[in-house]
Amino acid sequence: MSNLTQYDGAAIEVSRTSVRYPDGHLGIQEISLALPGASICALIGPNGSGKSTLCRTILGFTRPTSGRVRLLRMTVRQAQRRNLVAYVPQAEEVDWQFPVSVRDVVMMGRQGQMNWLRIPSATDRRCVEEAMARMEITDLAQRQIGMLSGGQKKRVFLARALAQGSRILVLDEPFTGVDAHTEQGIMALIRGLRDEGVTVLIVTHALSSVPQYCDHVAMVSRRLVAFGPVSTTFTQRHLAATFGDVMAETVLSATDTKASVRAASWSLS
Amino acid sequence: MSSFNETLTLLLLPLTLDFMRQALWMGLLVGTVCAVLSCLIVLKGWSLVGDAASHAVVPGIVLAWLAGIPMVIGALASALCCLLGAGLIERHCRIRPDAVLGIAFTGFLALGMVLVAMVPSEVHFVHILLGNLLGIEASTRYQLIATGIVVLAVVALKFSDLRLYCFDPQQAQVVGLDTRRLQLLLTVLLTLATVMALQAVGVVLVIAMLVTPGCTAFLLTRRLAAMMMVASASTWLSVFAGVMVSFHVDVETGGVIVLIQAFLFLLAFLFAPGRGVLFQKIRVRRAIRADRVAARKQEEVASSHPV
Repeated sequence: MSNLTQYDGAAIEVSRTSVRYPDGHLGIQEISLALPGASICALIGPNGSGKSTLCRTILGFTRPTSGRVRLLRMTVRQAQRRNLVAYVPQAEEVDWQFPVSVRDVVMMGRQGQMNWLRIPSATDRRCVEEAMARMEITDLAQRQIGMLSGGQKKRVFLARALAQGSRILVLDEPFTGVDAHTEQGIMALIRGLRDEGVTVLIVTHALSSVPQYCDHVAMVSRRLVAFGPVSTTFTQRHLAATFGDVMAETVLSATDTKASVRAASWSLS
Repeated sequence: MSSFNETLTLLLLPLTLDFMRQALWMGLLVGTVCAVLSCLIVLKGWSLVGDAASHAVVPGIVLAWLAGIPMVIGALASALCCLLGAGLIERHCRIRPDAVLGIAFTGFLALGMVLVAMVPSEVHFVHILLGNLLGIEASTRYQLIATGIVVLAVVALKFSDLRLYCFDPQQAQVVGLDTRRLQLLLTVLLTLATVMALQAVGVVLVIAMLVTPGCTAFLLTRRLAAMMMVASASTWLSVFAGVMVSFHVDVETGGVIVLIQAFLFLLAFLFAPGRGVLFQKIRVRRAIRADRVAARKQEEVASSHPV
């Protein structure tokens, strides 16, 4: 991606951050973590554990009641103004009936970088075409977004994030509703981005895929249960503390069998 | 043949009258503004906000008349007070937003009604309640023309940002746009459209002008720009018909306009290609028939090649 400036230190730095909603309900409590740049981090936790709250706080959708979030040593707002953050929403959050074409949606990734009249420049067009080609949706460019299959819909929003050319990419449940084939496609793409220096944060329920795909893992249950490299952190003890004993055993046994099955080669279509 | 010509002349008589032509032009302008805004409002799910704005302008209009300032400004201030106030209440309490909005705008309307009763009745505030395209005063007309041009220009210039805000406000924020400013902008545009629609159809029917064209166009199009054009066209048709009908038959112009809009929506609902009911029925039936044919073929193949 573009913006090849180097940023020292943590790409995503959350320090002692708590979120309490106006109704008194606790979202997250005193979470601190520092995610190094150019890495893939999984954010996992059971339902209602506050992992989406943490994700929303990192993206600036929810204001922390205390603590602070820094992205590439900037405030969230500053980072967003410089288009350093991209976000791929859950499929359920999108209004698929909205009258826009696939190309319109991918172009929305460039919106912050266009002139004030929002007339796309040659660079904007090139980024959009490249992103669509990379996600293999070029031939769908004129379709209304509701007329796509589940996997195609995912790819449109990944293409939008790609077109933006950010340094941080946040994906909310990228694996729900996609088949194993598309899942591998998405992961290969994300790895490619990491190798280009992008920091990726994935909020996910697909625990079994964490050890193969991610470098770091953060386990959340209101508080931060564990954070660190997958090899040392994705353990029986931590999983049990986050999800409960039974769950932890199933996950670990599943990952053992799955790891050997996964083939290295794949393609998106 | 001559009798046909006479009928035609009689039918088109309103177009030869100055005040009717003026009413028609105003109606078309108001209709265009409302149609364009209605697309954004329908897609954003802000129908109730539109309804609230249309009721909340009443006290502002009365007070503006008393203070001798342009009606549009009073209406805008009053509607913004109502909507922003409702937003503030909503953030600090656990009552559902639609209920808070309901309380706020009925409160404002009630205030407006009290004010109307209190000030001497030489002004025709009845026009606010029922609308009257045929009787717009000159000063009001200039305000409406200026407002209409401003609203259409802003929508044209900010089209892309407004579309992104309606479609995906989170993305708007992530790419660095000021979503709060966009929300305020859309609210102001909506309120201005409301003030214009008041003149045509009155408080009670404003919401029809702000919802129906957008819904009709939604069923017929796949792009926002096209949707706005179709919405405008449907409104022009209903405004034209409304003005003509109300001239020949003595009925309220606003009522006729809204009635025709509703009829156009019904047509779109039934016959729109793709999203219309009839089309969907046909599509399902065709799919079932195709399945049946396929199943029969498979059976034939199976019976001709016994295992």
